[in-house]
Order: sequence, then C-alpha cells, then structure tokens
Amino acid sequence: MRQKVANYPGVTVERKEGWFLDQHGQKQRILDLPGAYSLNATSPDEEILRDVILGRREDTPKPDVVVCVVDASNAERHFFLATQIMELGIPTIVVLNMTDIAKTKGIEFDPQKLSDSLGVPVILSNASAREGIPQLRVELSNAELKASKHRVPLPEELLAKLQKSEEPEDVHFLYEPNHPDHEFDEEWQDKLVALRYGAVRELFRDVSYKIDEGARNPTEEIDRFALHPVFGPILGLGIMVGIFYLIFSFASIPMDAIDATFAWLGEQVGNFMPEGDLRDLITDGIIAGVGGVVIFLPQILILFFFIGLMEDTGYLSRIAFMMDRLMSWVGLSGKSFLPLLSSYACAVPGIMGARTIESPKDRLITILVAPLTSCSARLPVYLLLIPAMAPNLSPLQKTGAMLGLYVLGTAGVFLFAAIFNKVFKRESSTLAVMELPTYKRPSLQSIGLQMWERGKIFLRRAGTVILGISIILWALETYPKTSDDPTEQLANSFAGKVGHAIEPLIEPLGYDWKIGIGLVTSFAAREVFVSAMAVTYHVEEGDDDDSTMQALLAKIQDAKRRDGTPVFTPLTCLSLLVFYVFAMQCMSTVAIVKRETNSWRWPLFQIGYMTAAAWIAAFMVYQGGKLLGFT
Amino acid sequence: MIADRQTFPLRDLKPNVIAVVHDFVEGTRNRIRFAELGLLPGREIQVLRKAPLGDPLEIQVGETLLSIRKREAESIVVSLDHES
Repeated sequence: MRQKVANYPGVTVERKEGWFLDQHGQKQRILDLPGAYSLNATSPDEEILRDVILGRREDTPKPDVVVCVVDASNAERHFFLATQIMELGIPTIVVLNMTDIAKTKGIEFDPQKLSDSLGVPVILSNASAREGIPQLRVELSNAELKASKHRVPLPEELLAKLQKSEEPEDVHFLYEPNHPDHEFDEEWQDKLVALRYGAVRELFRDVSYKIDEGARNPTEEIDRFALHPVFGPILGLGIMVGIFYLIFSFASIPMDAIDATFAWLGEQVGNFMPEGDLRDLITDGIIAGVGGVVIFLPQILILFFFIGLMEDTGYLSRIAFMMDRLMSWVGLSGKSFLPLLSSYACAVPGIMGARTIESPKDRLITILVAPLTSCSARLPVYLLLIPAMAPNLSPLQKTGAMLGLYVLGTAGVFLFAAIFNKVFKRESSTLAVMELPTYKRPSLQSIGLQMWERGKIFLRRAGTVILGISIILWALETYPKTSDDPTEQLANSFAGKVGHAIEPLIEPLGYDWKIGIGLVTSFAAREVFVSAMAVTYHVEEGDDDDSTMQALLAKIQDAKRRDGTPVFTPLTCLSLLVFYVFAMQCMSTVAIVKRETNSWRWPLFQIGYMTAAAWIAAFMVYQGGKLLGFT
Repeated sequence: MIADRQTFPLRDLKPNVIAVVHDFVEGTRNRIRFAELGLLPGREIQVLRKAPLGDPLEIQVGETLLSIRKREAESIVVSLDHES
C-alpha cells in the first residue's frame, strides 16, 4: 500500500492507483483521490473526488469502500468532508492520521467512542511512521463493512424538500450550482454548512480531549521565524539559491558519468558494428540524441527531491504565501511561483508542478509562460555565444551578460503572464485562499517514490518522443546522400535544404542558412544548436568538452558569408542569444504541455507565440543595432 | 451588548487579537467555501501575521491556518466582543 501523499492542498490531481493483497489473499484495488474541502467542489481536483465517489465518472467504477484519511491535528475541519462522504451510504473506514502532530498540540482521541457513534471502524495512525497500516489492512479485508449511521440533523423545512428525492447525495447537492436538476440556494447551502460544523463539534465533544491546554505549537514557533518580515524572505532566498547551486554543481558529477556512459556506448557500437548508415543512425542519431536528454535526469531528480521535501514538510505553502503579492501583480497567485522557479532548471518538471494550482486559468497561464524562464538547456547555447559575441570579456562581464539573459527571460515571464491574464480574463471566482498546513516530519519514502515516478516519466519520454525525433533529425541530415564531405552533405541534405529555404525568413535577424540548420535542428532541444554547429563547421572531437567548445568557438569566429564578411558578428550573436531566450525550441516541453493540457491547442499556441516573440525581439535587436551603427 | 458591538472588516483586525466572525459582506463570492473552511459566524478568528510584502494575511480559525488576500479579508466582518 504505497501512495504519494503531499502536504500541499491540491497536489494529487492525477489519478494514483495501487493494489494490495488483503488477509484472504484477495487482490484489492486502491485509488488515491485528490484532497478536497467539501463535496461541493470548486476546483478540478475536487470535482474528481466528488465524481468518483458518486460514481459519475465512466472510467472509474463507484468505490466499494471509502477510506477517509483525516488529519487528526485538525479533525474538526477534516470531518466536514468525512461526514459528507459517510452520509452517502457507502461503507467507510475512518483513519485519524498524523496523531503524532495532534499529540504535540495536546489533542488525544478515543477511537472506540468515535467508532461507536459513527458506526464505522476508526483507526488511529501515523502514516509517516507506518503506524496503523496493519489495522487498516485488517479492516479492508472485512467484507461486512457498513455505511455510517451518522446524519447531520436537518430542520423540517429541508427534510420536506429532501423527501422528494431518492438519492442520498442530494442532501449535499440539493443546491449544487450549475447542476440541471438542482436549484442553487446559497442561503440554504450556508445553513447546511453551519449545521454540519455544529454536528461535527457535537461528535467530537465526547471523543477528543485537549489534554494539555498550554501545549507548545511547533508550527507557530517555526513560522515566527520562517515567515518573519526580514528573516523569512532571506531564508527562502537562501534555500532557493542552495537548491540551484546544488542543481548546477552537484548534478555535474552524475551528469558527467551519464555523458561518459553514452560516449562509451557510442564507442562500443562504433567498434563492433560495420561502418554504414545503421551504425551512424545508432551512434549519431539514437545514442547522441537520447543521451543528450537523459543527461538532465540528475538535475530533475535533485529538483524533485527538494520540491518533495518542501511539499512534504509544509514549507512550500509558506513560500507561496510570501510570494503571493509579487505574483498578484500579473494576476497570478503564490501557487504559480514554485512551478515557475523550477522551470529555471527545466520547464518540464515546472510544468508538471503547475498541477498544484487549483484555478484552471492560473494553471494554464503558468504552463504557457514557464518555458520563457532560462532553463538549463539554454546554458550550452549561452556559453557558446557569449564568448563568440565578445571574446575579450572578463569572467565577471561574462557572468553579467549571462545574468542579463536571465533577467530578459524573467521579464518575458511577467510580461506574457500579464498579457494572458488580460486576454483570458473572464468573470473569475478564483479563491486566493490557501491553507498553510501544519509542519510535519518529511517522509523520505514518499519523496523517494515521487522522484522515482518523475524519473520514470522523464526516461519513458526520452525513450519515445526524443528517440523518434532524434532518428528523424538524423535522417534529415543524412539523406539524400550526395557527398562524402560532411559540410557538403549537410548543405544538400533535407535539413540543409530546409536551412536554405528558411534563409529569407531569418536573414533580417542576421543569420545565414547554416545557423538556420541550427535553429531547425534545435527545435527538438535547444542544446542541439551547439552540436549542430559542431557538425556544420566540422569540428574534430576534442579531448574533453572544453576543448571541443574552444575548437568550435574558433571555427565559428572564422566563418565567413558568401561576401567574405564574418557570419558571427557581435550583433548576430546578440540577436541569436535573444532569439534563444524567447524561442520554444523544446520537444519535451511540447510533449508535456500536450499531456498536461490534454490537447494540442496549447502547445501549438505556445510554439506560435514564443517563436513570434523570439523573432520580433531578435529582429529589433539586429535591425535596431544596425541602425545604431553596430555590426 | 448587541447595541455597542463594534464590527469591522477582517483586514483591519490587528495581529494576535482574537475576534469573532460576525458575517460576510453582502454579495461575497465564495462565501460557502469560506464557511466550509471554518469561517462561520460565531467562530474565533485571529490574524497571525502579514506576509513580508504586506499581503496576504495569515489567519487562524480553529486549528486551520489560512493565507487570505486583503481583498478577500475585506468581505469578512468580525467583531471584538465575545459572547461566551
């Protein structure tokens, strides 16, 4: 019985399924549903919960048993939903989870009494220490589970209305907004909420004890520092910088290992296979293409470890709380901050992280602007073009130039978020209210499980989408066969023809057809631009990455146009840098946006608007620069 | 007591002063959701702190901690006197 649980409301938007063997050796399916505040759903993830429990979803059978996992440290609020579910007449098991935290708050329970008054089994548990799991397994093996007898006492007036209906859920949905059969009556709904809270309070009067009134409140003690007006932001910034430092520094060790493994693999294939197209396809197409993407796995795992850690402890919501104001300037909420921040490492996990955003509009805008952040795949491009643009920069000036590109990308995020916010504006009833969960000890098991899930998704994509594109690109550069000279071959290949074909389009930006090949081939992944330039300019393999880069740098600085002027003038390099800041150029992102938005519409729109923005910005830089007398 | 009860919007409540939820401003959007989160008339409520940038507010209702924007806190009316 392993499931991903996150201490961040709305995280489990996805269906999570598992199974276990009960005591009779029967296989039982478990479905982990997203958390919710009420059956009266206000967000997509809450709708999933409501629809599955009511059997309204065609893809999921109505559950036989519902296990209500209730936060014992805030049982009253969580019992609001639990009693709603219990009144539907479905057999229920109540698990009072996080009893350790409740204990630190001085709250204890009498599970037997609670079980007696509800008429269903009640289990005390502490899932991070795996307490209570055996009892749950025993209860789930019981075929005689009953529905709860608990009912919120209703006034005559409401009972009279309910007599007309036959469905037990109607008590919750008699006034469900937007439901064809129900009239929505806010006043009644409001009364119903108050009645339910009253009933829950009554229920707990006899079964929970505040044993220690003056108990310490660790969450408040931590927040006094973590949300302090001065130290709070410093701590948050420190943690962010630390995570990014680890992603860039620590990840390089496994990344080098992966790089070396793929290089070794390519060498082995090169040694064992006879020369020919098939060997080239495997080494230059498949191994180089897939390896170029798999190399980002360590960064993604490190990022997900820290996101998981912050989610699980409850700190993530604190960051969202502190950043809410900043995000509200462009019409978003604090919940968008972390997915966008993650996108600086890689937009793919960032876009997946946008699931934590309840508002569909906010989530869509976040997904649309996330690839504008300067992700790590842009780094190789920046690292090649900055020295090409200005060879005599000091390291400090280079860092400044790099930082400038990051600032430009960030400005793009805010600009387009603001534009989309205006364009998609509709009468929105989005709540910015967000729960700040109680801090708890992180479960390394659940974080590990999450990393494994994400890693698997990432690798599966590398084995499918990226593999396919790598093969296609290789073929486009290899056929039709015209010459043994790699440069000649490239010029006359399909890719070369495409480069020539788009030349008129990119000439106003200061690029020639060879750069065009780089742009087209790097459509799958930005860093391919560097390897495309290496192939185009026929750079020999160096001893290590650095010397290859140096050799490539020397080659492109020597490159001449047909009229003898250099190709990579400072202005062309700058224009290219600006182009890469804004351009989409990432198949993985296209694939993940398609998956997350469940349509081709948004990834296509994203390619369109980002490419247009990149072209316009590069055009303005190049033409503007020329007008000002730069070359 | 009722006569001199002073009501004011939640956004004007000073941090760490315990107040009681009185009502919602007429036409409050999502008032059902607020109620479901535990913001019910008669409930004790307090503002724990402002976010470092001044907005939103962190509030406590029962055992629940919520982040709520000042604009949203505008529509929740609280009072200082305790009936209990």
